[in-house]
Formats: sequence, C-alpha cells, structure tokens
Amino acid sequence: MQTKKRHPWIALINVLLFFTVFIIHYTDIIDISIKNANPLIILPLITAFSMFSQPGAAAAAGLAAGVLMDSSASGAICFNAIVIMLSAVFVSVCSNNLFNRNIRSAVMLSVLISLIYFLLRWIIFYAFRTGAHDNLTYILSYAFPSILYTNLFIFPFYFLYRYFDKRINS
Amino acid sequence: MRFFFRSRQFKIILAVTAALIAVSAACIIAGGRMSPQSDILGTITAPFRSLATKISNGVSEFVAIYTEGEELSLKNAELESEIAELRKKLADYEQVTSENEFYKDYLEIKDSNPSFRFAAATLISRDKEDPNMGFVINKGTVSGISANDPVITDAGLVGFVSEAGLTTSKVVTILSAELTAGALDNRTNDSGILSGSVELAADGLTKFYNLSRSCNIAVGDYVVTSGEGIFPAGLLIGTIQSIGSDKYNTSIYADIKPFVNFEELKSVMVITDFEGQGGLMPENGG
Repeated sequence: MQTKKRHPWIALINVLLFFTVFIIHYTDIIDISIKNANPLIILPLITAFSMFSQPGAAAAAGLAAGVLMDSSASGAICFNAIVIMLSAVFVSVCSNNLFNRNIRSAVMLSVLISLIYFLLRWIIFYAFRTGAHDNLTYILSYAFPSILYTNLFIFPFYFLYRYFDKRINS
Repeated sequence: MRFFFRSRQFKIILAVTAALIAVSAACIIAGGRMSPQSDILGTITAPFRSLATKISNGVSEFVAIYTEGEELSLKNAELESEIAELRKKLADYEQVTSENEFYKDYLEIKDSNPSFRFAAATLISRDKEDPNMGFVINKGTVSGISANDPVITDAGLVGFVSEAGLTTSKVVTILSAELTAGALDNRTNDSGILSGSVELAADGLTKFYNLSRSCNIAVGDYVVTSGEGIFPAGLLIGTIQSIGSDKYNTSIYADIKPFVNFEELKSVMVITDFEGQGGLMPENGG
C-alpha cells in the first residue's frame, strides 16, 4: 500500500511556478514570443498539474490561475477564471478515470485544452465583433501559431509533475 | 466517473462557476468595472508585476548598451549629418515658427486644455494574447480613474480605460476594434471614424474610415480626435499612411500610423476629467 507524504516544498514550488509563469506571460521580463505566436504557458502547466491532482485541487489551482489572468488580460471579466477552472477539472477527471498518466495523454489533453481555450476566446472576443477577414487573421496569424507553441511546454511540465507525483507517492 | 458527478466537490465547482458567471454579468451591466476577485488579486500582485517590469526595462537597457553599440555609432554619424542640414534650415526658422503656431494647440495639450486633469501611470503588465496590445496600468479608481477615460502620452492618443479597478486599470489601445471614436484630418477638417482591426494591428496601424469620396485627405496628413465619442477634441492620433476605397459602400478609408509606439510604451497619462466628458458617442458605437 502506498503512503502519501506531506511535501511542503512541492506546494511552494507549485505556487512559485504558477506565479513565475504568470509574470513571464504578462510582463516584458522575458519575451519568448516568436512573431505573433505567444505561448500561453499556463495552459500546459495547469494540464500537467491537474493530471496528477484530484478534481478539487485542480479546480482550486485553475480558479486561482484564471482569476490572476483576468486581472491582466484585456476584455475578459471572469473568462479565464471559468475556462481555466473547468479545463483543470476536466483534465483531472479524465486522467483519474479515462486515461493513463503518460506523455501521450498529457500531449493530447494539453492540445485539447488549448484548442478549447483559443476557440472560446475567438468566439467570445472576435467572432461577432470583427469582420470575416479579421477573424481569419486572428485564427491563422495569432491563435494557431500560439496553440502550436503553447503545447511544446507540456513536455517539461509533465515530467516535472510526474517526478513530484513519484515523490509524493513513494 | 459518475461518482465524481454525484460528489459534493462537483456541486461546489458548479456553484463557483455559477457565481463567476453572475459576477461577470454584474460587471458587464455595471460597465467598465473590474470583477471583485480580479481587482483584489490584481492589487495584491501589482507590486510584483511592477517590479518585474522594472527589472525587464533595466535588463533591456543594460543589454542594449552592448548589443546596440555599433548601431549607435552609425546612428551618431547619421545624426551629425542631419544636424548640419538642420543648421541650414534654421534660416527659415521664423517662417516655420509661424506655421507651427497652428499645431501648437495640439502639441501643448495641457496648456491649451486647462480643463484637463491628468493622472500619471506606469505600465505594469501587457496582455500578450491580445493582438491589439492592451495593457494594465498601476493606477485605478483611487487615483480618480474611471472607465472610458482617455489615455495619452506626449506623442499622442494611446486608447481608453476599459476596466478600472481600485489600484489597477486595463487599457484598450487605438489599434483595437473595441474602440470607435470620431476623428478628423487636421489639414482638411474631413471627418470620419477611427477604429482598429486585428489585421492592421499586426502592422501597428489603425483605420480612419467612413470618409466622404469628395474629401481631400492625403498621405502624411495628421489625424486628430474630433471630440465625438469618449475623447476630447484635438488629441493627436497619427499620420495617414495609405488611402483606399471601401468595397461595400461609397466612402473611402485611410490606414493610420499612430504617433505612439505601443511596443516601447512604459508610462502614460490618463485624462481623468475634461470639458464635455461623457458627450455623444459616434454613430457606430464606441
């Protein structure tokens, strides 16, 4: 039978990691964008975290990350809080009940979450506000490259959280 | 999985989602208010974001000393030849001065608009997902800032405050389609509507449209706010870069290159009060 140890340093690393990712995304401290492709690193981070967490913890982390994003993202009252929280719960429930916690599942879930996020963002903030040409520009020049770039970050986050999971369950 | 959907956890998550939707609806109805939870977290994290921005600016300046050294020496040579040319032009100074009187009102914004009240603010974060370069400033309702307040720099119009929190505010730039305001050609007085688009924002441009076919606008003309909408009249917007004909109606449009460099923006001024604030909006909204 596995025994779960308390690891306060893992909780501390989690908080620091989420906060660092937020600072990187919303300030100019490090510019990791390539032309119009701006990776939303918080999505693979929340995916990897939720894969190894219970739905309640995933929801709490998603809610905190989403509210933090709402404080800086333009035109988004509670949008990020709702979407990120529900995404985190979805990932957690899926990985607890449907999928193995392997890298293939992580990539699949991360792609799915980022697709849903950018699709919702497009529907709510662009689809009905701008013309067809602008919509196409947003999807092809901003959303699509950003989705591709975002999902590259699932690899380090997945292996980090798998390591944490092993330490917790050892 | 069905155990999860029957669990207390699931009910709590549903309740939180419903509460967030309700808060979101309330904020939309109230107009221009930041959601309370974002406001609180925004206030708590503002010093960290401010610090990160300061570090970022410091590092950029430090790196620039080394990476741009060669570029700077070339630029210096260029500038020296420019100075020589300018010395010749100094002879025409008197004539230029009289012409400049015309533009003076626009350049010395504060002197010519005594009713303006300003709040100086610094950028603390940018929304990198926003193609229109929206950002967050370190001042909010505590400093007298409210939704729809115009945001400017000494170069010209930046945008407006879309959401005002206690100590932070979100700014929508003139590159955004969310903004619609009356504008006019400074030389010909031809009036139209200013609004952005995602496609133009990629090139750092915005659109001046709904112009009559008989108008006399030309490339290089200055465009200023007309006073229709949320902005006071006479704020510099940018120069006309190209002129085109609208496909769907008889009007023409122009692409505007804003005077403000949004990528280099570090601090701004918010006009918290001016004569005629809250006046008529342009026909297309805004």
